[in-house]
Amino acid sequence: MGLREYIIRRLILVIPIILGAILLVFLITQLFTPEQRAFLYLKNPEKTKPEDIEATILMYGLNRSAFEQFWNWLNQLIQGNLGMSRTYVERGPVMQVMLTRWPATIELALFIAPITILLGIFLGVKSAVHRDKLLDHATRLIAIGGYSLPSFWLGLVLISITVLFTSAIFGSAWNPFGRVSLANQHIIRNAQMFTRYTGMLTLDGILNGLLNGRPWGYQIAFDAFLHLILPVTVVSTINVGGLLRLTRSSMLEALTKGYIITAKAKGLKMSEVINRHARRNALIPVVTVAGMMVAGLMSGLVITETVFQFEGVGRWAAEAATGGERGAPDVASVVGFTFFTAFLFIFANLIVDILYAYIDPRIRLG
Amino acid sequence: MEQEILKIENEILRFYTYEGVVEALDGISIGIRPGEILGLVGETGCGKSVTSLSILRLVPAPGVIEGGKIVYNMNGKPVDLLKQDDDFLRIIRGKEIAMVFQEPRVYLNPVYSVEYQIGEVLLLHRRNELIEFALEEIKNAKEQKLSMEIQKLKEKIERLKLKGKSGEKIRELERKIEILKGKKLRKNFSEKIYEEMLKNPKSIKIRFLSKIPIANKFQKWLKKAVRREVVNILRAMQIADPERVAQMYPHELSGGMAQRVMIAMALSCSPKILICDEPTTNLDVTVQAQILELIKYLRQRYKSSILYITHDLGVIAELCDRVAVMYAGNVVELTDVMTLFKEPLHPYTIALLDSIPQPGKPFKSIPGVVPSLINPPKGCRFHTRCSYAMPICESIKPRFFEVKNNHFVACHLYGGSK
Amino acid sequence: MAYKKIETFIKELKYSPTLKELKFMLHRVRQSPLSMLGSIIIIFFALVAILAPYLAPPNPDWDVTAYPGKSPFILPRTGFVPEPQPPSPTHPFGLTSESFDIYYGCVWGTITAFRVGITVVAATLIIGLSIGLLAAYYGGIIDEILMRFTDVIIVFPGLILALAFALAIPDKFDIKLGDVLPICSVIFTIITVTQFISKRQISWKWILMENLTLVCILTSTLIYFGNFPNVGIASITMTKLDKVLAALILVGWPGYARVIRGEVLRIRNEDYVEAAKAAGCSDFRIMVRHILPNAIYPIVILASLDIGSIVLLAAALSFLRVGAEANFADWGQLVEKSRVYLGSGASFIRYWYIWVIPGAFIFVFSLGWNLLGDALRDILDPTLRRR
Repeated sequence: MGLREYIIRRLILVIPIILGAILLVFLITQLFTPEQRAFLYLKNPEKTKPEDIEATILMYGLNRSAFEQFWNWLNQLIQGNLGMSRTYVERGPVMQVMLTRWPATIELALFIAPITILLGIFLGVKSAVHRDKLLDHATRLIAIGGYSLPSFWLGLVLISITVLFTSAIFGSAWNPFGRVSLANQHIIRNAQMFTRYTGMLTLDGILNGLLNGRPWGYQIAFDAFLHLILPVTVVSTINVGGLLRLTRSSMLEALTKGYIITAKAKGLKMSEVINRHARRNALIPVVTVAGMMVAGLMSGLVITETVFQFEGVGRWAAEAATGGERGAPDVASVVGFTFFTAFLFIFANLIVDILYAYIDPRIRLG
Repeated sequence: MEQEILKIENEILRFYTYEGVVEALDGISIGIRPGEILGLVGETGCGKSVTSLSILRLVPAPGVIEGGKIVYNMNGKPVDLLKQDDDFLRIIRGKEIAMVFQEPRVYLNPVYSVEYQIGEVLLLHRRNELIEFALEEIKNAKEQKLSMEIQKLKEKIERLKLKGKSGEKIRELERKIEILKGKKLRKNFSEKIYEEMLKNPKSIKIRFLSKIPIANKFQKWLKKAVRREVVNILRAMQIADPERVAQMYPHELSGGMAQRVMIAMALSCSPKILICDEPTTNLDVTVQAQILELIKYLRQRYKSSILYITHDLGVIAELCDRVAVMYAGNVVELTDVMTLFKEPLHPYTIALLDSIPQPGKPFKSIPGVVPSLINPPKGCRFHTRCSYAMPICESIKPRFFEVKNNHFVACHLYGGSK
Repeated sequence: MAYKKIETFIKELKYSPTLKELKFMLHRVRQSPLSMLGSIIIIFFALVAILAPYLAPPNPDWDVTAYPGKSPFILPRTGFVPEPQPPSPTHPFGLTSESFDIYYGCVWGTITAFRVGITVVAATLIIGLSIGLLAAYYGGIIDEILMRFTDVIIVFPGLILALAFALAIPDKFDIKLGDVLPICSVIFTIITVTQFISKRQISWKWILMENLTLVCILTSTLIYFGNFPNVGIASITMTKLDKVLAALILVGWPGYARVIRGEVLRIRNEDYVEAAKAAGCSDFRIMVRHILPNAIYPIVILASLDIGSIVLLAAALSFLRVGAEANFADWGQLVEKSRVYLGSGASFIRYWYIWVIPGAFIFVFSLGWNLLGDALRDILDPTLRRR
C-alpha cells in the first residue's frame, strides 16, 4: 500500500537536496581565488606559465559574475570534467583518479560495515537486557572509549603493537602499511599476469586464482586480507560504540512499552519477547543511524587510509588537502571528492529511509 | 460456598523505590467463582492493576510479592501460582488465564499485523490443533487437484469414445486414473513434516528446515490454517470484515476495534479466566457500551470467569455479578452488585456512592487525599478520612471477613478486630 | 517590595520540585563511577589549562622564529638538532625534529583544546538552537526553507566538508553592503509575509519591519544594477586557527538545529503551550519560558558529547595539516609531526613520544567529556530513569 508511494515521494524529495548540495559545493569554489580555480581545468599543471593561467581564466569565464560561472561549472560537471588533480600522489583527471582509487575504499567499507553493525546491535541488545550488570558496564566502557579515540592514534598504536609483536615472534617485522606487501605489488602492477576485475584485491585475488601455474592469486587475496585486518579493526572499534549505545537505549525504551507486557501475558519465553517484540521496535531508530554511519565511514577512512597508506580515495583527499604547489590545496581534488561523498551520502540516506519505511509500517502513512 | 476458580489469599506486594518502600498490597484476599464477572473497583493508585498483574506474575521491578497465596483451580487440582516456576506460569498465561489491557494501541506491537499477533498466541497454545487444520487443508487441496485431473482424463475418455476410437487408448487412460487414485494415499513432503511436528515438537530438523528460504515453503499451510482461525475469532468478536482487519496494523485501527482485537487475542485459546484491566476507560461511551455488550456475550459463549477492573461504578452496575472495592492497597468490601448499591457497609463505599453527582443535590466529595503508600496510616488506612472513625481504627487494622451472607467487609464498625 | 519577593522565592525553593530533581541528579552522578571519572578528567585538564603559564613557562628568548606578537602558543625551539629526542629530565615528553618541546606543546595545547571545544560548541549551539527553534515553532514555509539549509549541510560527511571549508575560507575578506543587504532582504521579507499571514492585522511594529524590508530590497537593487556605492562594513582577518573554528561551526550547527527542532515539534503540541497561547503570551515568551526549558535536556547531552568529538575532529584536521599555523601548540599538530615517519616501520616506533603522548592527551580529554555526556544522558533521560 503505502510503500511504493512513499518511495516515490522520497525520490522526489531528493532532487532539491541534490541541487542544494551542488549549490553549496559551488559556493565553496567561489571562496577560492580565480587562480586557484583555474587549476581545475589545466591539463598539464607542471608546465603552466602565468599566461596559461590567464588564458584559462578567460576561457572558463572565471572572473565573470557568479551566475555565469555557475553555468559554466555545471556544464563541465555534466561532461564529467571535474578538473585535474595535482597532488603528487596522483596526477590526471579527477574523475579518472577517483574511479581508479575507489575500489580500495569500498573494499574497506564492505568489511567494516557488517562487522560494526552486527556487533553493535548484538552487544547493544545484550547490554540492555542485562542492564547494570558486568556486561553492561564493560560494553559501556568499550563503547565510550571507542568513540573517544582519535582514529589516527589508534591506528598508530595498533601498528606499533603489530610491528613489535611480529618482530619479537617472527624475528622480522611485518609491514602493515599498504594494501599488499611489496612483492605482491609487482605482480599486481603487471597487467599481463593479473587482471583487475573489481579493483578489490581480496576478490580479484580469488578470481585470478592460479597465475603461471602458481597459486599467486590466492596468495594475493590472503595478503590483502591480512593487510585489511588492522584498518578494519581501527574503524570498527571507533564506530561500534555509537551504535551499541543507541541500540541499548532504544532497546531499554522498547522494553518499557506496553506490548512487552502483552507479549509476556501471552505466555512467550523471555528470549522470544526480547527478540521478536522488543528488538524489532528497538531497531527502528538504529537502522537510520546505521545507514548514516556507513555513509559517514568516508570521513573515518580519510584518516585511516592515510595512516595505513592505503591507495584509496580517502588518502587521496587527505594528500590533496595540502598536496598542491607550495602546500596549497589541490582544489580540484578536494572539491571533486567533497562532491562525490555528498552523492554517496544522499544515496545512502535514501536507502535508509526506504528501509525505515519497510520496517515501520507507521511511517508509510505520514 | 462453591469452589472458587481463583483465590488470592493475603497477598502482600511491595515496591522498593528510591523514595522508600511502597506498601502496594497489604494482605488482600479475593476469590473469583467459576462463570461469574467479578468487578474490582477503586481509585487510581489503590492497587487494582497490580493485583491483576500479580496473578500472572507480571508485576514490573522493583515490585516484589512478599506473602500470601494465589490458588488456581486447574482442572480440579488447586495450584499455588506464587510457588510455581516460570515454565509452569508460561503454560498458564494465555491459555488458562488471559489479560486485556487498558490502552489497546499501546499494548499491541505496532510493527506486527493483527494476524501475526493473534496467530502468535494460537501457535503457542493450540499448535497441534492448528497443525491438524493444516494437514486437513493439504488433504483438501490434494483431493481437489486430483479430482480435477481425474475429471480431465474422464473428459478425454468421453471424447475418445465419441470419436469411436479403439479400446487401447481408453484402457491406457483408465489405467492412469487408477494410478492417480493411488496417489491420493501417498503423503507429500509438507504432510510428512507436519506429522513429524505433531510427534516431535522440538525436532531440530524442522527448526533447521524452517530457516532455509525455499525449503520452508511448507509453512504456508500452517499460515493458512492460522489465518482461517484468526478470521473466525475476529468474526466471533463481532468485527465486520475480519479478513481485512486481520491484515491491518494496530495504528490503523480505531480504539474500539483495537480493543476488540486485544480481547480476541485473549480469548483465542479459550482461557478459564479473563482479566480485563480497565479496557474501556479510554474509549468513547458508545464504543464502551458495545464492548461491554461483547464481554457479556462472550462470557456466555466461552464460559470464562472474568475479573473486570475499573474505576467507573456505572460499568460495575451494568456488567458485574459481584464487586470488590479496594482502597489504598486493601480490599474493603466484597459482595454481590445489588447489595453493594443498596446496602453498602464500608464507610468508603458509602462515601463513594454518595459522591456520585446527582441532579438537584449538592456535590459531596470525600475529604482529604489518598495517603501515600510509602508511609501508610497505621491501623485502617481509611481512618484519616472516615466520618465514622473510632479510636481503635488508628491502631488495629480491621480484619476482612464475612459479616453477612456472602458480604465481606473490613471495618471495625462490624467487628473487625481479632 | 523586592525583599519580600526574594524571601518568598527562597522559602518556595525548599519545596521546589526543581531542587529535588537537581538533588536526585547529583545523587545519580555520584552513584555512577564513570561519570565521576569523567568529571575528574575534565577538572584535571581545566587545572592544567589554568596553570599552563606556570607548568610550562613561555620563554621569549628561545623564540627564534620571531613570530609576530610572540604568542605563547608557538612552540619554542630549544635547539637545532634535526633528530627527535626521547624524554629526559629537562624535556619530560621529549623533543620533535628541529627540537620543539613536546611537553610545552601538550600543556599549552590543553588551552587550545578547551578554546576549540568551547568556542565551537557554544557557537553551534546558539546558531543551531535559534534556527531549530524558529523553524519548529513557526513551521510552514520557514521550516521548509531552514530545514533545506540543514539538510544540504548534513548531506556531507563532517570531516570532509570541514576540510573543504577550512581550505576555502580566504585569509581576509571584506564584508560589503552588497553581501549583507540581499540576505537581510530575504529574511525580512519572509518575516513580514509570515507575520501578515498568521496575524492578519497590521500593527505599527509590522509597518516598521515592512519599511525596513523595502529599504533593504531597494538598496540591494541599487547596488547591483545602479551606482550605489558598495560600502565596506567590516574587514575580517582569519588566522588559520580561526578558519578551522569557522569550518567546524559551519559544519556543526545543523546537528543542533535538527535535534532541537525535533524536540520543539514534540513540545509544541503539548497542552501547556496551547494554554500559554490562550493566556495571551507572546511568541517570544512562549519560546523562552515554556518550550526551551523542556527541550533543553537533549541539547545539554549533545553539547557535552560534542566537545569531545569536536576536539577529535579538530585533531584530525590538524593531522591532515589543515590546522593552526605551523608549530602551534595543538595536540593534533604534534601528532602530525610524526607523519613523516609513516611507512618506514622502525622510525615511528623509535620516536614514539611524538605521537603517543599528544595522542593520549587527545584521547583522555575526549574520553572525559564523553563519559560526562553519557552519564548525563542516563541521568536526564526520563524513560531510562529508575528510582
